Amino acid sequence: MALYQALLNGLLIGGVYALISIGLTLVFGVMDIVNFAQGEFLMIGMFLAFFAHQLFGLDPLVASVGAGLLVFALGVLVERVIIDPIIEAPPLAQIFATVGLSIVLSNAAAAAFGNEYHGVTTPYGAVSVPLPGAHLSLSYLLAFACAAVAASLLYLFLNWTDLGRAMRATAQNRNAAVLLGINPRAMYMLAFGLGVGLAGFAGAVILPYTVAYPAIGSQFVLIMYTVVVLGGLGSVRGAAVAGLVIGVVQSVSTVFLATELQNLVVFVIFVAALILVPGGVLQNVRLRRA
Amino acid sequence: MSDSVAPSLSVPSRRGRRGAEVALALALLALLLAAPFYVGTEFALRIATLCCLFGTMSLGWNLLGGYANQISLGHAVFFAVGAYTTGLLEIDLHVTPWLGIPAGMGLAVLVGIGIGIPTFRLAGHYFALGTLALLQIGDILFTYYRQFTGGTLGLTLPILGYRPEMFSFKYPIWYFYVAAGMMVGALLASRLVLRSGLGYRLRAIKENPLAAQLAGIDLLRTKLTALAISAAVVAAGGGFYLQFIQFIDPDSAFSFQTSINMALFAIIGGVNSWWGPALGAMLLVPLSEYTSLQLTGRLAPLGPLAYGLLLILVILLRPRGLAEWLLRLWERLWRSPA
Repeated sequence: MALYQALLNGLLIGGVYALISIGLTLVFGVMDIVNFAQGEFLMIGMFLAFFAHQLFGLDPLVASVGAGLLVFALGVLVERVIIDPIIEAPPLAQIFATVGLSIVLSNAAAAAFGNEYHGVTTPYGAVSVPLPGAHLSLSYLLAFACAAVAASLLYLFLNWTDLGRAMRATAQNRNAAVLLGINPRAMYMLAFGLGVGLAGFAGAVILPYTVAYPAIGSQFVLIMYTVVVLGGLGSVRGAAVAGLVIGVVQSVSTVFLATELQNLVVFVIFVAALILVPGGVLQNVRLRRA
Repeated sequence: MSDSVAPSLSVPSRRGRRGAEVALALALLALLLAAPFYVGTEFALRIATLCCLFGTMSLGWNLLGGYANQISLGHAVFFAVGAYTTGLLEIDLHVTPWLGIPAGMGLAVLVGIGIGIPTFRLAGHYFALGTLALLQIGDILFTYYRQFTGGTLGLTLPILGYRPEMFSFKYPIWYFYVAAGMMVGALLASRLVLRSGLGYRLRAIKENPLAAQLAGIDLLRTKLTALAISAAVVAAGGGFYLQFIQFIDPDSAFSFQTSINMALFAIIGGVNSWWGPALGAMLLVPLSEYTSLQLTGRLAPLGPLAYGLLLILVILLRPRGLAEWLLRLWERLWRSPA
């Protein structure tokens, strides 16, 4: 029974992991940049939803769209100022530019809002939906639904709009895309904005069942990378599936293992996936990126 | 830019530059070693000691991260191995840290090889991600196996009084000189590696791994050698840290911050330079210690915030680091009358 319950919870939480990771994999697929600050954009989304609730009484799920858009705008600005100059730089500069960004964002939030936990109370926060043999938390269910809608919209955007196709073309072959008249720098701006905007949106929808604090981004960091690597770097569909898988693995492993070991399984899967992907991770990127 | 105008000029200037580099590094080292004569307080001496400690670790990180561009975000693992080996040997078996620190270095070399063989299959960002995950795994395991490591309670060294043979000194100045000796050793290692065949191979890997392989360089072996030296240097730092601070727990041992600091000092000082990482530590450790003293409560995050901003600014504006910039200044100073 506990296993069944853990499985359901894992799936619901995994939906949100999937959404955050889709943002990360999009940025990676289009720009070849691993954004070490993705978790901090999630944190900003949470705080935006928190203040929307405090100041205007908005429900986090309603505020999530606005939070996503604001984080999108911030992402475009960050791309212009910090990412664009280092897009061709060696990995050292790329890694530490986004690591620096994550340090700046989390500490700026700590200075502005303090290190306390910021949570909101919603009418559905404590409601649970009875199922045969288990029960679902309504806030998990709603967060999952929002994540599923956002992921579906992104999927439609990438497959059915010219802009989305142009973005995929840039991911597949930058030079060929340029020859077709696509401006890659505009695509980078858009991809980075979208990637972090999704994290901001996800931050807002999980606020009803968790709390916002400046360092929360670091909680999600390795889970996101695990999902992205498992799903195939740069693959949106892969990240969606892998997000659900990791949610379930994490949730189910708490049934069998001590609480301290909760994330150990996830990290071990991560290292194993990194190392054992056949043909090496890099080749896999080229094949799967479409 | 100006030194590459004519090839005939650039050869002697390069030799001159090497001399200038040694002179500059020695001047800075002298400034640091003389610290006890001009710092008045015990707090300042403590900062000077920490400068040497973090300088050592940053130099160690740079052997792999800077010279070969293999960015490890998990080097705190070696720091932890050094600290825990020294501590457990002293507490459980009463082994003197003078032997415990070398033991920790040796163990770190083994751990490094064990980590390196699988993870060196990964390139660029993936290597960074893999090493980051190892750091988290280490933290979880050391917290969980508490009967062995003390768990979250950590290790606290016994107070021994004046027992120099057990690494327990009467005056703080002795810790400073031991740390300074350690950093001089790391500087020598850093310069030797840079000027050796290993250094050339590492730079070849940094420029173009495929071309390096075609030129007959054994990539795995070269990287493992650098990792082994790097791990040993960082582990020495970990062992010293435990003796100096007297306490370690999994969160401080496997801290992402420690990993980042090693890289940060190297990047700000200059990753292509054999003394740049030490320069970075000499500038940033005092900055961070003083700001954490001055800024408390709500203002405390401003210190790390400034750190992060500085990191981004150096990457965007001075990607070659401050050592290179100082050298340019130095050259301009000497040449300007001509």
